[in-house]
This record gives sequence, C-alpha cells and structure tokens, in this order.
Amino acid sequence: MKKHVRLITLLLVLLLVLSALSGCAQKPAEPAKPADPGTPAETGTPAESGDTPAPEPSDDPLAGPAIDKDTVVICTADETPSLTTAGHNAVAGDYVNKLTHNGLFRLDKELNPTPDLVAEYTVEKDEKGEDSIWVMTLHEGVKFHDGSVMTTDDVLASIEHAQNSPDIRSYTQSIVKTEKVDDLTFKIYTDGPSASLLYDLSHHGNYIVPARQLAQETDPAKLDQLLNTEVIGAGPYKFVEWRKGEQITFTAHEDYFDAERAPKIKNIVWKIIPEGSSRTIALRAGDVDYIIETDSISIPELEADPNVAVMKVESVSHNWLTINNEVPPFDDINVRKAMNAAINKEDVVTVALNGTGVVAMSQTPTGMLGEYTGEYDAYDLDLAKKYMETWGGDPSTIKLEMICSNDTKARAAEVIMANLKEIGIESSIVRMDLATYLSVTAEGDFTGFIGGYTSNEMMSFLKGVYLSSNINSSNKTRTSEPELDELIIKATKTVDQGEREKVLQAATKFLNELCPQIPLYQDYTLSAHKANLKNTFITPGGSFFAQEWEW
Amino acid sequence: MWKYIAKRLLYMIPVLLGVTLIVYIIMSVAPGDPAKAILGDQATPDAIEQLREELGLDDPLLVQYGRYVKGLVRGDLGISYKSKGPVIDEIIARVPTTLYLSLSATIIAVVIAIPLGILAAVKQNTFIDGLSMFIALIGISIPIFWLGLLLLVYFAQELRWFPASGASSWKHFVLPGIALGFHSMASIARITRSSMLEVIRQDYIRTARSKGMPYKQVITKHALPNALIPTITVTGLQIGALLAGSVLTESVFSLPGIGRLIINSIQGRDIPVVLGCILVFTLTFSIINLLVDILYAFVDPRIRAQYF
Repeated sequence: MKKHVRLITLLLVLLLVLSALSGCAQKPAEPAKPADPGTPAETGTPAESGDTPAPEPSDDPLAGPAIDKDTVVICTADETPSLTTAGHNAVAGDYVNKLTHNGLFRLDKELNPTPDLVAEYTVEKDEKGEDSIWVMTLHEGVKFHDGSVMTTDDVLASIEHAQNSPDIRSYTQSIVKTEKVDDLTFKIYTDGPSASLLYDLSHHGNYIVPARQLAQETDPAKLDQLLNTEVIGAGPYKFVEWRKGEQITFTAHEDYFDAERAPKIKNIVWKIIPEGSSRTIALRAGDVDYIIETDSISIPELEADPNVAVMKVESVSHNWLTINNEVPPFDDINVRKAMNAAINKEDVVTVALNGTGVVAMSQTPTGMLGEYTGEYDAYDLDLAKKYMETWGGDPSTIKLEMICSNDTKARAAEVIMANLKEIGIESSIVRMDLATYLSVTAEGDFTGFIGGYTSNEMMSFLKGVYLSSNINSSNKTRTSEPELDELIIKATKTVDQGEREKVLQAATKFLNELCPQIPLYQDYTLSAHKANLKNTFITPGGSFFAQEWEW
Repeated sequence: MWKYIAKRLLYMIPVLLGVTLIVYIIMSVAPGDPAKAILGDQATPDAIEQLREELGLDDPLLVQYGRYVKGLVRGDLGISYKSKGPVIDEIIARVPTTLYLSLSATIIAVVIAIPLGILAAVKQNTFIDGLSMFIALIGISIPIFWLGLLLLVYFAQELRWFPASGASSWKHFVLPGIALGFHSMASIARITRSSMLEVIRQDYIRTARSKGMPYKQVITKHALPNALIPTITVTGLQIGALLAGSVLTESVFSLPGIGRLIINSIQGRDIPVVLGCILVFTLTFSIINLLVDILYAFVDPRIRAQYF
C-alpha cells in the first residue's frame, strides 16, 4: 500500500510540474516588429488609430491566410441577434450591417460623418429662417444585391421603417418629415437646425433596404423575419449563409457602387467564438485570420508571435464609478470630489485592464469633437481628505455598494474599495448579471456601480448620460441641471462645427466642476490578425473596413 | 412492454408542463426587464415601453403563460425576444451539435470507463488498480473548462491535429468529447469497479471458478452482466450531467449548441428561448430515463419478467 501511495504522489507531482510547464510554455519573443501607429509605445500612453504598416510577407502558413487568398476568416465574441438593420441595436449586428448595407452617410476613420450613398447635399432654410431642410441626392445607379437600382423611394421607406422600430428609433428623433423630389433627390426636414442628423444617418438603423421588401409585410414581427432571412442591401458584401451560433458567410458584391471602396477579398467567413482564450488559440492555430475583440490578457502572447499583428486603439468607451447623486451623502459635491481625488486610476487601469487603457480624468471622453480636459482633480489623497473635512460628516456612516456586471468591473471595484478606505469610506461589491444590472441602474435603485457609455460623438454622449429627460434610462447619475440641459440642447442645434465645439467644451467644463461621477478609464480597442493581412485599420469606435483588406 | 412505454410517455406531459410553469414563473419574477436587456443602456423610456407592448410583457403573468401554453399545444414555441425569429428554428439549428457532443462524450466515457473499472476490480490493490483510480480521481477533479483549454493548446494550437473551433466535421467533436466525457468516465469507472468488486465476491462466481471455468469467461459471462445495472443507472444520470456540462464545453470549443443558446438567452432574459431549451433538456432527460429502465430489462431477466 505504501508503495502505491508513493507512486500516486510521484504521479501527482509529475502532473503538477507538467501543468506548470504548460502554463509557462511560450515561444521566445521575436525581435520587436515595427510598431503599428495604432499601438502605444507603452502602457497608458494614448494611442492613435491609423493604418497598420504592411508587415513583411511571410511564407509561414500560420501568418495567413487560414483558407485561401480569396477568403478572410473573422472571429468575434458575440453573435448578431439579427441581420436586419433596424431590428437590433447590438454592436455585433452593427459589424455585420456594415458589410451588407450602406447608409446615406458613414463615419470616416476620424469618426466624422461623410457622404456614402449620398453624392451631394445642401441645407436650405425653412420659413423661420433656420437651416432645417436637407436636400440630398443619391449616387446614380447604386445597385442592391438583387440587382434592382436604389431610388428615393427606398430611402424614404427605410427612414420610415427606422422611425417605427423601438430598437433604433432614437436615431431618427431629429427627423420631422421626408419628401421625394425625384428618383434620386429627396428632402429631410429636421426639428430646427440639427447637428446630429448626419451622425444619425450614419447609424446602421438608418441603412437603406429596398422599399419593395418593406412593403411585403405589414406585421412588424413578420417583416423582421423576412428582412432577417432575405438580406438585401447595397453593401460591399452579399449575405450567403448563416449557420446559427457558428458562422455567417458573405461574398463580394460585384456591382458595388463605389469602385474605390470595392471589396478586395472575395469571401468573408464570420465565426462566433465566445471565449477570449479560445479566440487567441484559434488565431495562433491558423483557424482564423482576424479577431475583432482580443482579450487583454492574451496581448503579450500575441505580440510575441511573429505571425500575428496586434492593433491597439484608445476607444471612445468612457468608464466610471457612477454614484447616485440623489442619495445622501452622494448629493454633496464635496463627497463626490473627495471620492474622485482618492481613487488611484492608474492602479485601476493596471488591475482591471492589465494596462490596456488610459486613465480618464474628465467627465466626458477624449478622442472626439468637443473634448475638454480641464477643471478636474487628479489623484491626491490630501486633497480628498480636505474635501471630506469641508463636507463635515462622518465618513464611517457612508455605505457605498458598487454593482459590477463583469470581471473587469469587479477588478476595478476592488482597487476602488482599497482607495476609499484611505478616506474612511467603507464600500462593498455586488455582482449582478447584465440584465439585472441594466434594470436596477436605470431605475435608480443603487448607491454606486461601475459602468460606461460608448458613443461615436459627444452630443449623443452628453444627451445619453447627462440630459435630465434621460433620468430613469441612460442618465444614471440622475443629474438634473437646467444649465447643462441648455448647453446640450444648444450643441445639438449648432450646425457650425467650430461653434459646436465651444458649446460642447463648456458642457464638459460644467460637468468637471460638478463631478457627478468618478471617471476611471477609456480602454483600448484590441484587435489582432494574421501578419500577412494588409490595410487593416480600427477606429476609436471599434469599426473596421473589411472591404479594404487584402492578402 | 408497449403499454408500459406508452404509459411512461404520457407521464411526460405533466412533467413538461410543470417544468415550463416553474421556469416561466422564475424567469418572470427574476429581476431584469427583457426589454431593457434587449435595448441596452442607451434606450429611451418610450422605446422600452413600445418594446414591452410589442412583446406582450405588460399583460398579467397568467395571461402570458396561457398564451405560451396555447402555442405549445399547437407546436409553436413562440418568437425569440432577441432575434425576433421562431424559437423552434433557433433550437433546431442547435440540437444536432449538442446531441453529437453528448454522444461523443458518452462513447468516450463508456468505452474507457467500463474496461478501466473492470480492470481495477479484478486487479484490486495492485498498481493497475491504483493507476485506474488515479485516472478516475483526476477525471472527477479536473474542471471541464481548464481541461478544454489545455486540449486546445496542445492538440489544436501546437500539434494542429484537430481544429480549434467549429462543428462541421467529426474532427470538431473529438476534443470537446474528451473534455466533456472525461468527467463522466471517472464516475462510471468508479461505480463499475465497486459493483464488480461486490459481484466477484458472490457465491455463484466462486462456484463457477471452482467448476474450472476460465477466469476471463467468469468475469465476462457471469460477473459483468450483474455488475452492469448500477453502471447503466449512473451512465443514464451522467448523460443528464453531460447536457449541463455542454454549456461550458460549447463555450470553450465554440460549438453552436443548446448549452450556449440557453446561457445567452438567460442573460438576455429571452424567456421563450429559455423555455424552449428547458423543454428540450427535460424531454431528453425523460427519454433517457425511460431508455435506462428498458435497458435494465434487457440486462436482467428478473426485471424483464416482473415489468414487461
């Protein structure tokens, strides 16, 4: 028996050693490749988005392509709920919509709206003398995937369809009515001057589908099913097949209207791989060519692989510790400012994001028109204590519960807990699944939570996060400041970009002084792909342009 | 026998209805509004209200459940809140993957576990017994998730013998089958060993050996059939556990099965899809229980005589 015990012990030790070796096993790091413009030189340095410099072509099959030079295999964490344009508001769906459909406008690499299906447009004055009539003309001969030619009727029907869809109708709010001029020209009437219209028209919810299809069904549920199975757009790729939960395939639209942006790779296989580590393994094993969402923990391993290129771009996703401004003592500005100054955000970025992000100091994100980074307090424990003294209450009476809906947020909350203890505030972490978190936080039934908001432009961000009419939905700090509301509304009505920038900056300045929540970080958008894939690019909004890629 | 089977099949109807009622109530009273889960952080109150109305979520709970059961009787599992497509289509697209996965895991588990259990029993207290039970111990202790990742790193990434993701050929089910089957293998091997040990100490085994029957024949003809009853029971239960384990395995190996669908649907409060998946699990588990009971009769003539 003793002999067996010894043998089993030996086997156990052997297994542990093998496991440890497998954990440490990593190929020696290759000499550093030329850095992507999108790659920060060091952790915490803001990155710029940009074209990836063409890496040296490699003969190694693991450098791509996974299938052949006519195909690129993209993998993503989440499956789109729908292939329709207006039947969802999911990021995973937006990626797919960008392949199959076009909008009247699109966001360029700097996130500015630029004409897409529209060839030219002018703004006319209404009877009040306001710039609210948008006259737009489509490119001639734009063809849908079924061969039919796009006309004004398709545009007007698509906008009407979007206005009736609960998922995305907020992106049509500024549109009062539409009017056909001729087969290629139409008018959009907005509720006064609108700075957000062109951004809204760039949203996938307003992408153009054939009017013929929209007229086929009157029942919204049946129409959704029809649009989800017969996917017809005018985008660079045509839908081929959807194997639910596994993959979607697309093939190039040969009659794509924009010759300069026509697809260079014929086929796209769009794979769904939910686990981050499995996506990394699939890329390194040669099964896929491009990972849209790369796990931050896999970055060192991928950067050391000569067959892989990693792209890091500072995203426009702004993350914070939200505190309920209606609940005492968080309604006191000194308490909020004390908490803000007491939290070491560098530590939060290191612990929560493995260093793949930048510290956020301002109440609004950087990297978009109207950014402003003044009037905030940096990490300063003495200053935090002074704010607490000014408040005059007993810090031990403050009870902060931080709701977290995922591991990243929970790691951030652990750092915050330790920091707040330094000024005598006791806090705790409450884990919730996403659906519960969304309900509880929208209803205001909380003291604090780790949250965030992603928007491609400042007006939507300010409206969503701070406009008082959005209390009980996306204004979760429950900020209600008439002066701020006025600034936000003014920005949405200011068409002149320079003027609008000033108004947006004034709004952020106001917010930084008010400190309704504690900004934490803006994470990086992390993507990785085979080294042989060229012309890749990601925007701060996380978008990419698959039709520009080539082997 | 056919009467017995028909009776058991009829018993399944109240079981299925009971399960749907319980799950419906739990999902409906659980915090988290399906409309908010679908529309996300940026939804306006108006949009949430419109969607709730479209989905019929403003109706009383009993009205909603009654509507569901009415559809169920007609074979309509409803419309997914999230994809807005028929639930039946979502499930049909994913059932084969989960079935292949469970089948491959069961085959791997049974093929390894039964010989391992027999060997450990007949070679009790030897090195082989120790090694067999050591393997079983590892199988029970090792998390499916970790084993799956380890298999992926070695056999997909390093050796490139098997694909890392997908479900389009038998090769895609080998690694997930091993990851999922390893845990069941351990339980089955342990129960086979203990029941074999019990049987080989019986008088009739001693009699067979004293009559000069070869040892191999004694084990395969006399001991094994009697020792198999508890093994069959555990194997049946393990298939149920495999369905639960498929949730993790399908995520690690990116298999488009029911396990992943139900997890995503619970997170998104997509009640019709959750109910549809639960129905499939319940039905599968009930049918497996029935098959196990029938199998007893084939293995043990006394049961056959008593019930069939």
